[in-house]
Amino acid sequence: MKSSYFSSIAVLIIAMSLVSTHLKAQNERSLYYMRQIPQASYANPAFTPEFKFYLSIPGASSVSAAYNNNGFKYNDVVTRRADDSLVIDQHKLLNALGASNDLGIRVNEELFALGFKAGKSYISLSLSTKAIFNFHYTKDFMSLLINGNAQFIGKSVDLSETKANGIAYGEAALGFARQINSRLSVGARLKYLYGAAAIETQNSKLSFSTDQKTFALTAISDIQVNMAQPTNDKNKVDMNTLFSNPGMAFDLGFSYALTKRFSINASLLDIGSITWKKKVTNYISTKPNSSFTFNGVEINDLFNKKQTSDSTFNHLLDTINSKFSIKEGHKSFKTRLAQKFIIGACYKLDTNTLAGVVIRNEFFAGTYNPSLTLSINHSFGRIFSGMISYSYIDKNFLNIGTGFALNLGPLQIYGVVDNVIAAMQITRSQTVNAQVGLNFVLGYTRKHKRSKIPYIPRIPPSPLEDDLKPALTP
Amino acid sequence: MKKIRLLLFLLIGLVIIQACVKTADFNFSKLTKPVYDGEWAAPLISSNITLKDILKNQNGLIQSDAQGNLIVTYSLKNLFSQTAEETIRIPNQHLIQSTNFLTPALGTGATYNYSFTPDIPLTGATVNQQLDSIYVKSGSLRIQISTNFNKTTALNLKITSLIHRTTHQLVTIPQMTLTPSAPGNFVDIDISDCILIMKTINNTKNNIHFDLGMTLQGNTNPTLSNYTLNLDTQFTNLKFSALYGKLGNFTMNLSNSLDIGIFNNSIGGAFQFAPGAINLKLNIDNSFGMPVQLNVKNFTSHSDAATPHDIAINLFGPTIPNIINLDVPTVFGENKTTTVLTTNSNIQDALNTSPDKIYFNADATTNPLNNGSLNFVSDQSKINVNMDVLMKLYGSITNFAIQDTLIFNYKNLDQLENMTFRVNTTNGFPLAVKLQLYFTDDSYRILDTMFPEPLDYIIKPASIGSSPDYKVTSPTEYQFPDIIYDQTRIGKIKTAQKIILKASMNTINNSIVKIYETNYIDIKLSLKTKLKVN
Repeated sequence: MKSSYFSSIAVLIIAMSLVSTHLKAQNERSLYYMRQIPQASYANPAFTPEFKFYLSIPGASSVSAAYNNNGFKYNDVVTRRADDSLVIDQHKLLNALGASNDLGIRVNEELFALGFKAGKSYISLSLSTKAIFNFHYTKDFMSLLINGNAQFIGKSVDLSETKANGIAYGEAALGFARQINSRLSVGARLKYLYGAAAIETQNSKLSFSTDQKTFALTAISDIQVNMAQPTNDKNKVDMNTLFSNPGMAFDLGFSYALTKRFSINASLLDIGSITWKKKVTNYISTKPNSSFTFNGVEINDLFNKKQTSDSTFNHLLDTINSKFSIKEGHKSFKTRLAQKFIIGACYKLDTNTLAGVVIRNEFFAGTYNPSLTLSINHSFGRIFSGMISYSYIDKNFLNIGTGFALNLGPLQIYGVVDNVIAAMQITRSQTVNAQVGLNFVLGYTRKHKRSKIPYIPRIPPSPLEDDLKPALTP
Repeated sequence: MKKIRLLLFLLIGLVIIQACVKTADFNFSKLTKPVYDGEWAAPLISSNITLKDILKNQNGLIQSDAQGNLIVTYSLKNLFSQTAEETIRIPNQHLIQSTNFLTPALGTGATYNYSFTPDIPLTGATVNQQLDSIYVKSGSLRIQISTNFNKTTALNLKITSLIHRTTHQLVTIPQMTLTPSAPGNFVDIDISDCILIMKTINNTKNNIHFDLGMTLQGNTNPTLSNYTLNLDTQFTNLKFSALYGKLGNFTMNLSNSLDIGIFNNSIGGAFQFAPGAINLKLNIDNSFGMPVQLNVKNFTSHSDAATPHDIAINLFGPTIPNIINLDVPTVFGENKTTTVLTTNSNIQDALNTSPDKIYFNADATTNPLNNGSLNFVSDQSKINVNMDVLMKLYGSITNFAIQDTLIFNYKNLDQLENMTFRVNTTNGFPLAVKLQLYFTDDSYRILDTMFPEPLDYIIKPASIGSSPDYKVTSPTEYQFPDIIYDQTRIGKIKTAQKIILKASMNTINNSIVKIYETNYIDIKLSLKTKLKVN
């Protein structure tokens, strides 16, 4: 059962990666105030794009990926030697780890998106696949894997913090935004979810000790791991059950202009859950918090003349598995999405320049990931706009972001990263994300004026803009 | 101007990014295989073993007496002789009797009656066998008549010695007819479930009486001066269900060997049983209804390890032959058991050589004294020898050594940087054990010896109380010094195919001890190893 458990996790992670063939992640930090890009409205449904119509089609739509790892960097694992050969250094990795560590991957691929303006409202549709995976582990856990248990002879290791959580799903969303009055805009997005694969560590109490005299292994465990894996009996992805677990979620947002230049806004994203019913497997300790000690196998079993070393080893594994007593079940379970609460404020420095601050809070599977982003957005004419940001993300203060949107007629190309330094020093980075995409856009709603009049962008909608124009127009 | 600034901004950004990402850092074609070098410690063996566990796979029956003292019994069960049917075989018979006679002139319409009443002797299984009766299980009888008769003749035959087993009526034999053109005839009779009764007449044994009557019908053929008739009697495949009479001498051989599993792997040393610790019991069943003498010609214990290898076992004392006269059934179907419990035998001496086998070879002879008594047998009469050797585990052990060979095919030893074996024992046996493991190749060439020599005790003996019980008072815990395999030693055993395990045991000060069913040993073997896995 134990080996089945680990192989299932492996298959599950592969299945998750299959869901999104291109790495991508929603970038709700630096993208937040890049209103030339329609996908910025995904960070706050009250935001309306600056185009009357936009379209993303499969193969040329938005893709994004985010990777965060507060435990180690690339060059903590892979070292280049003088002869340019690379070597994986497990001990250097171990030295880099903190007491508790997280490794997260978020990927997102937009398959189709459509939006259009209808009076004071803006309606959008989108179809996308998303995956989020988070592995929380302690230094002791990695130390046990890398250095073995000999270092813990006569000691107990607490591995309770070790948790793997992840979901991969499809999302069909219908968004609606409306300008209520000259100051307030609100928006909402309703999402129907199609769960593809999941792993949830509901309980992971585990301690492990090695007897000083006999090396007997004692474990106290209370484990419940739920998995949904769209695989068939041959551990291949089963397309018939892929995306067959239903769920619902919604986003809410608002934007409010306090003054001519200053606005505040907030959004709640991915409030909802998926109920996993198909291809579900639960691994549960049958005797929670009981102590199991493995003292060794019977002498006759180890030195049976008819047995080979392989069968002896398998017998040893079977004995250990039976001792640890984990039951396999098939009960449905529910997982929440990675819920986000974002608040922001922006200030129009001039007609083409907007300064913003965004506080993003993400809650997923018991983990809380806050971030703070400061950004400057500037339009270099109608064709090109750029963004520079600074973020504090996941205990990392050195995140300089940048982004651009290039409008070539109806074709819009854009790209955003939260950490350009990571791109420059990829081997030393612990947080990397990027979002790139291509939209067909029509009906640019903001009139760009070559004047000294401070332009107040409609991001967020500026209720006072029209009032200002006559007075400032020469 | 703004456009130029923009282009510069982009260009500088791209150059910086390109300059900072060193492709060599990601050239995974130059990634060397990482070596996993974790060090793991785990228990390998944990066994709480009693002697019953140790001996469970050998052929002895393990029991205990009222005090809990273990007794191992080795039994030779159901060593059967041949059955009477296989031993006493009545041969096929072909018996001919003739008669000549004269008749008056037998013209048409005249008749002539003639009788022929011979006693025909049956040949027995032996020359001297004098049978009273044969209860025929199966067999056939052919009566064949040949004559020179030129007259039509009716033949009526009665065999007064042949009756049905259940009705005791004479067996009816169909009438035979002879004609001038066919002056011979025959009849086949199934004599299964019949009784053949035989008489001794004028010192001729085993006679069967025939009564052949015939009537010759006159015809136009001339009457011959001499009529001749041949009576040809053939018994074929005669098998009996019972035989009565003076059945004579027959000899049957009984031979087998008994494995003494406890000593199968013995390679030396002494296992001295205390007086009274060994008992030998022979139970011999006899269903032959006649005197039978069992002469145990060869009764020896054999040890490959000890010298002399063979010890002759004398059941009744030195120089007295191992001859046993078996009790005889007095009623048909009865089975008599003769029990021999040795009190004067040297069985203890024989077992003190730690034999792995006891050989038994005996001849059973019927009517050994030829006293001419009347006997009976059934077809299934036989001799059945059962032998029990009871060994109470009570004695002293001096360097008693056993050896066994185990298969060793662990192929991944080159993935180990080192190994440290640890042995912890809690011994509840009053025995101390030295152990050596030899790693050998297929040709038994020693590649490495596991424990440093001279060998020290790996298992220390438990303390015991005084006689007569010699019970263990406290088990002894002991941790043998760790056995370390470094790269050099691991290299030696990489090609090992077998492990020869040698253990030698001693009782405390070579004194007498008793092994009880409650005695146990707790063995824990653990391994700590540093890996080097690519």
